Amino acid sequence: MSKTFPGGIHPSEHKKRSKKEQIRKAADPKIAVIPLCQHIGTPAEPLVNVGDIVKIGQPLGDSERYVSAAVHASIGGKIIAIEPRLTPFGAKVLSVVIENNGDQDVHPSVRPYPNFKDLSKTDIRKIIRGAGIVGLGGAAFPTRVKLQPPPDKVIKTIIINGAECEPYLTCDYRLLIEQPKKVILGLKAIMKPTDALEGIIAIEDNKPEAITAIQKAIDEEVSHHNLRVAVLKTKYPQGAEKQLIKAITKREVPSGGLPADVHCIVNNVGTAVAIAKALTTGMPLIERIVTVTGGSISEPSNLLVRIGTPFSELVEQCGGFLEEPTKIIMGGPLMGISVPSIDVPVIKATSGILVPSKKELDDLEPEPCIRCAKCVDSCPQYLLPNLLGDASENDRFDLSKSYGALDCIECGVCSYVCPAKRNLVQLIKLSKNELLRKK
Amino acid sequence: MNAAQITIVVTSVLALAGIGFLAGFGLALASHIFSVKVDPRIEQIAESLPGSNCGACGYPSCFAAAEAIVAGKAEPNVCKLGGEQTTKLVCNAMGVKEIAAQEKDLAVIACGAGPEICNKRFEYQGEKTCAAAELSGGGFLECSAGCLGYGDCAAVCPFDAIVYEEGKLPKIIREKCTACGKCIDACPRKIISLKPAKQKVFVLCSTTDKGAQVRKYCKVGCIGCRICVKKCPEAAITMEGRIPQINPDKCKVTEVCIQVCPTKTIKKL
Repeated sequence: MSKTFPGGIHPSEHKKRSKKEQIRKAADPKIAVIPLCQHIGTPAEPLVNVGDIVKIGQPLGDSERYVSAAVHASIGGKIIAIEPRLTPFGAKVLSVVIENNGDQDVHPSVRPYPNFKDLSKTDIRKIIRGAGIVGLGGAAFPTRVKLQPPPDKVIKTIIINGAECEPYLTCDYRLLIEQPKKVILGLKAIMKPTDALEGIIAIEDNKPEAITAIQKAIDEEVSHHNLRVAVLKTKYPQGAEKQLIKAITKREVPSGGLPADVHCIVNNVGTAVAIAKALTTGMPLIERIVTVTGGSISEPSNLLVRIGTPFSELVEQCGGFLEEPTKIIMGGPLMGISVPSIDVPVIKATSGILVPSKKELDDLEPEPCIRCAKCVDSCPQYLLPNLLGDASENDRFDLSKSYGALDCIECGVCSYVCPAKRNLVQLIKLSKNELLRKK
Repeated sequence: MNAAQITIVVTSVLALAGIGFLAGFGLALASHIFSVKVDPRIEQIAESLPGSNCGACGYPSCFAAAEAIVAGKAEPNVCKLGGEQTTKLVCNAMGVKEIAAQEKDLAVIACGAGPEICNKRFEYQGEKTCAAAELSGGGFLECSAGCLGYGDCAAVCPFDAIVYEEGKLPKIIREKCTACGKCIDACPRKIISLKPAKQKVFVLCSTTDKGAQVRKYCKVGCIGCRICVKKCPEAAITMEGRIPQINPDKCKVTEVCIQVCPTKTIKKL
């Protein structure tokens, strides 16, 4: 029996379009715009100047602060500007703009590390820190911070999240099939510094090929007694951290707590592969897999993209638009965000570029709540989205807090099921923002 | 009625009267022992204050302000809304020399465009409040300091001083505004500020962008040309950052700046 959590929804998957497409390398961008803050936490400080010639993998920015990540040059070329540029999140963020000069040489700081077995715990943490690796599932939380839980927390289980419950996206699926060895190496690299007893790769049961591929890779490992695949029921949001832990370990992350409180650390498949790459080749995080899909895209694909490539170039490489796009979403349809312009760059958090056709989009005006409680039934965090929405609409943020607004994971299930089309997640996000601002 | 019945009536009446008397005595004693001495001036001052509990003085209610005045924590002219008359009444109640009332303030939205005029980056669909729109990708306007036009300020105004139609720039009615500052807190873009009420001419723009950029998305945005600074006969205008500031003490409302402003950003309200 596949494991799962209570609540959740079953949206249509729409994965067929890009499921069978092998990962192919996207052309390097002519001009790469690399924001210095692509992660949660403090922005990196620029280490380069306008006019400098940079090589692939050269650090562009770093920060001394704990919750932060380094940023590296994804192409070789000349820095033509360091100025605030528009990012997919809509804000203007200080970015390094590199003009490609076709140089394929890597920076001398990029060199392979000794054998994985010889690396110490601190070495691994240092490599992950230096490679600027952040969670590639979409939240972009610095991985190094995750791997250093408070000393009183014992980590028993490392979960590699290959659920990919968001409709449309197939980037993690392709990685599981094409690079299972790297996923396993990444998992081992995370297990070592945290002293975890068990490594689990979680995959939904709608991806049998991925399950077979990973199982095969595990069997081929020399010592695989502490590694296993967990098959999960296909349901949204199965890949959400807390729901994943609940489904696999039956342990529940306490309100306001971290996965480390229940002895777990969850990392995305992409993150594991990025760690494996950094350990084997020394190459920092300068590229990622992006699924370009949706009803308006002629040839949906899974591309290996250099960070900083504008969305528009990727869409061109996927055959362009079939129809005039009305909305461009970064990420999946449920948790993704609409981007303000097609010229924004791919950042570390870009798991997909989704351009739905007009037919796929729903443009309904929100109406008053009809008290059907569908949102309450499906909320995977056992919250009351209907009341949270009311509280937010009436600026009663004190009520939002007592209803547990800060426990909302913003998965979008409530908005999806609401027959009155209320903007429930948006309202909850608003009160969360208000509560965090007042803190 | 026989004697026994009369006795019952008499004893019960006496007993009740006795209990009543005892209880009354107890209450009288308690009210004497536990009495709280309230300064009669507090009541008097609270009555002369406007009673709208707007909070502009920094106290949660007019009564709290009255208490603060009597306790000497606040000046008798703390109420801006009341003006001359209230200050006079409060001074009389306190038995102090009359002092001048504080200058009245006025909330001003420093944007002349709003979503009607400003270019949009994208079409916003979602919750129709400014706060929610601001959270979605940093607002749908090209301008990062333009009014989003969903009227969060009008919704919180306790005096109906802000007139608002969806998708348009709200208007603040000078006569009704008490400068309580609720709209300032409600505006997610922080473009509402308090100005002295005697000021008549305002620069209606809060942009931090360069002039060339502003021209691209807004017809009435300040481009920082400084012509108003040069042409003002009273030298009342100075540049602060990218936006000119008008000194209300010097401004004589000659309206020269309004005529010379190439983008018509300066307006008389």
